[in-house]
Amino acid sequence: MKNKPVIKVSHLTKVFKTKRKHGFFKDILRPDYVLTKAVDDLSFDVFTGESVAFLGPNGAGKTTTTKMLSGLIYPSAGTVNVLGFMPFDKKREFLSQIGLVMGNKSGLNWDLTTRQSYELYQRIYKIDPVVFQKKVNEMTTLLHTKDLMDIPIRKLSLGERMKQELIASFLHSPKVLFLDEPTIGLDITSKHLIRKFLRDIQSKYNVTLLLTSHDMDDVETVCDRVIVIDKGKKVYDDTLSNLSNTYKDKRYVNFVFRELPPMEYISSILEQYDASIITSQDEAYLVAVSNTDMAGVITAMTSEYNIVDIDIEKVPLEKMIEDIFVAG
Amino acid sequence: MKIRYSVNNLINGMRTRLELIRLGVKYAWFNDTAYPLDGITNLITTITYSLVGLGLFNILYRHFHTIGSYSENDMRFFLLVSHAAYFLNSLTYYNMLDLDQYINEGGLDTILTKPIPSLFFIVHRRISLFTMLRDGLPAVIVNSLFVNFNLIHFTFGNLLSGVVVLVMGLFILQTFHFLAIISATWTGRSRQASGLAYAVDQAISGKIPYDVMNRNMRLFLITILPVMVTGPVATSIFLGKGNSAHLISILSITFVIAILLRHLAWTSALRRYSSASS
Repeated sequence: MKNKPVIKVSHLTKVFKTKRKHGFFKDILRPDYVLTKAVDDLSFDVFTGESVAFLGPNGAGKTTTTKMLSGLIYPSAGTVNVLGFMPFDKKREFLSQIGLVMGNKSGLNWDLTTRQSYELYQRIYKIDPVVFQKKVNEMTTLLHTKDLMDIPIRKLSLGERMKQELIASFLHSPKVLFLDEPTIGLDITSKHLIRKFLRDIQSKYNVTLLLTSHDMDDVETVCDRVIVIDKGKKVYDDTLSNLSNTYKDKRYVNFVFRELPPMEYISSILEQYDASIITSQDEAYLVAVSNTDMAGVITAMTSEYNIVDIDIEKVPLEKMIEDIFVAG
Repeated sequence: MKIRYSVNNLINGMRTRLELIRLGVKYAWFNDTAYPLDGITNLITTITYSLVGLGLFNILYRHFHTIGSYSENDMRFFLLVSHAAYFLNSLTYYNMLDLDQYINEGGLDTILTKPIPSLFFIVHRRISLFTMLRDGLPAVIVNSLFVNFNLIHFTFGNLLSGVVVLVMGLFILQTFHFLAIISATWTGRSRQASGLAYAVDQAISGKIPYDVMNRNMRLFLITILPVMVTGPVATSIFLGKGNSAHLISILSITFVIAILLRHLAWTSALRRYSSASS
């Protein structure tokens, strides 16, 4: 997959200057500004056809980075190169090769129907009518939106509108697509459908995806690589499979008891193994256990108290990312 | 080679802009007809406004024969031109007002990432011909019924110069409003600034004839505060009262400065634009 980088980010920094409020007259006579480093010396490359998740807690600098990559805001320092262009120059050749979908902002005109919106995009991006029709058919079939073509955007539900936003963003066959929380606020069915759509289209058209999301299911389904940033700095950058591999010797076991044993009792058992309590909720303990100690822990836990259910699962991605934050 | 490239770029740029105007007209039609019952009140307001203006002139001219060389018929013609200019200006004015919201809520993001001249697209996003005709045409017809065109001595030169001034004036006036609205990038919000610009425009542009003002005031109101460049100046030229060559030269300079200011303000605003957070 790795051929040439389509996105090259080197020592990227963005500082925002915001006014601290001290009262009307003080603000005028002696304004007090705070400098906030939203992105701090960030460097990474993204290669053609890669699907990269850009993760981090709120305020980590993910969206600011995405906006610098798409040319919306100007960097304070460092360089950005996307498809051979400096994004902020906003060259037509650059803009016609990228797409941006924001889960909380609509790029479609609310009073137009879906069909009219697509036709507007066809004109703006000068898409060949035959290719346009083929793409609309293909994507509306994939996202089950064929029946929504003549309904004004304002009358669509959030999930239906997001599907139209995604289709519109793919119509001009972008080489790089930036997705900022595309499944935010959607129901589980819509989320599933959108993730599958993104994966299918991404692999079919070899689009480079940069996804920002707090939903780890989005990341697991759509992405191959994870870049984690915290306080504007990169704290992790590797493939999703490598990240999972570091946790391959560990499992989460959920013990559901008929009557919840005291915490001290559970802790005294786990002390003897490579295991620890993650959470305790209702009648259950969620325990992290190494594969080698699995049998021993299960035997010890079930010896004194009645167990209703045991559920063994892989360490969730959320926990892996949380560990990265703690370590970083 | 370089010249050919520049000419091609210029032609492509013009084609794109014409296409955007066509789309602006087409999609404004869809927008306007999306709310078919909205706008009836606008129609009543504009006709009432015309009738009140005509009534006021009638009362004034009972006491005066002419005001600043304007007879009652000239004044009615001035009202007609000012009204037409107002409706032409409103074709794009409301698109610009959206800018304040785009800047504050980050709506600009989805426009700036499209391969189009963004400011031109924003200004011409909806060209509501339907709304203009529905709200404006009846009022303009009412106005014109009260004008005795036989009493006005039109010449081809004055008509042509008047139309040129009207077109340049619309652009200059649009830039005046644009500068007030784009201040949102620096101040965070520009509703008061755009409201003030609108109030000044409305207070002067359609109410006081150009030739009534003294020389310094005239110059001020077509350069520094260019709210007289549409209706008042165009009427003066149509009626053959002003020196059209002199006025066109001054307005041409104002026009060029307006283009430069608009470009500078937009480029600078984009550099400053931080985009609303997600």
